[in-house]
Amino acid sequence: MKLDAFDQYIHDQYQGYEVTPPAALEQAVMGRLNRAKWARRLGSGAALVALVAAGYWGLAPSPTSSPTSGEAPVRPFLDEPVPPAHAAGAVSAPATAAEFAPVLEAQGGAQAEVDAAPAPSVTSTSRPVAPEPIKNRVEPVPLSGAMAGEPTLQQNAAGSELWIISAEVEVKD
Amino acid sequence: MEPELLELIDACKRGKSRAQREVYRRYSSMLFAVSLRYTNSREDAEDVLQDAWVKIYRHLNTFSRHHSFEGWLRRIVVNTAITHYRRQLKHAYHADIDEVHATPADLDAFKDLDYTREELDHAIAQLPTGYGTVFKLYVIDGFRHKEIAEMLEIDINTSKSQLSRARKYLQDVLAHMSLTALKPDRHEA
Repeated sequence: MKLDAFDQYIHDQYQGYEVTPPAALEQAVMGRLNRAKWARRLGSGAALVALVAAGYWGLAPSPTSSPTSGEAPVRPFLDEPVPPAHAAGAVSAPATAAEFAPVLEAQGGAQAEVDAAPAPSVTSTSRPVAPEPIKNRVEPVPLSGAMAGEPTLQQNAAGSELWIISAEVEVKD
Repeated sequence: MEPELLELIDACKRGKSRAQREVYRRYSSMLFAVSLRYTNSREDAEDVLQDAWVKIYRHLNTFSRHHSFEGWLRRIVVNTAITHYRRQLKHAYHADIDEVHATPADLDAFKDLDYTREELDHAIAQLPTGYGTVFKLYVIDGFRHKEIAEMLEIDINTSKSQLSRARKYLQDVLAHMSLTALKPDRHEA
């Protein structure tokens, strides 16, 4: 006899073998299932109540959010100081140079000096372009006099390089 | 799988009590027999079966309809029983290895296998716990060595060697039974 036959014989003897469990076992199993079901429902209800309560208290004004709490209000602006109007204009060198171009043309000799100077470009500085509102408020107008001096390259506190062009402008109301 | 059974399983997943009772009534007798096979007493078998049914309903969502539902149920009962006796079984696997000496029964002596299930129960019950569990899992309940190794947390080769030793041991027990009063007429001829 081969092993498979021996195994098969044993297996066949137990094929379809059943023993009826006591009736109380069914009640015990179903009771445990019902208890688990109710526990789940109660858990869900408690979670819902907690969620509603959290929502209610979350919407109510929190005392810690009042200005009298002593905390400094969050500043809506950048941490870096905004440069003054003329400095900001100098930062946006390419745009400003274009705006000044007609004026410089009219000034003859000054034009040559500007051409000779290294043309500032966006790539020459890591500073972003000046904020839009400043540009709108300061309208380019013809210079009232000659350029006070040549553009100078300066380094600010942050280590960035800035082209400074001294000029006098007249602001119209 | 039968569509009716699939509907029943789906209803159980939705927590329908009637469906749960129906599934229980269909399979509880078969599963109780399995539970009795892997436990030492009827009380333990009832405890194991009760725990197994709770697990079955709790994890019914993980059942894949591409597999045998009966096999899945059987496996949960066996796993529950093994967990129930895990400490005892782990000890048994290590203790049994040298316990059984070579008792190579001549397989030719079993040409005319004619034992009742009660006699087989009696013989299998004499197997050391570790051997007996592997033998029952492999031969009676049809698990493969890989599955047995996972269930018992043993090596596949350990499962194979335990089965081999269990067969020899069982054959020896059965041969011995044939010579005793259990089978007095077997060797009279």
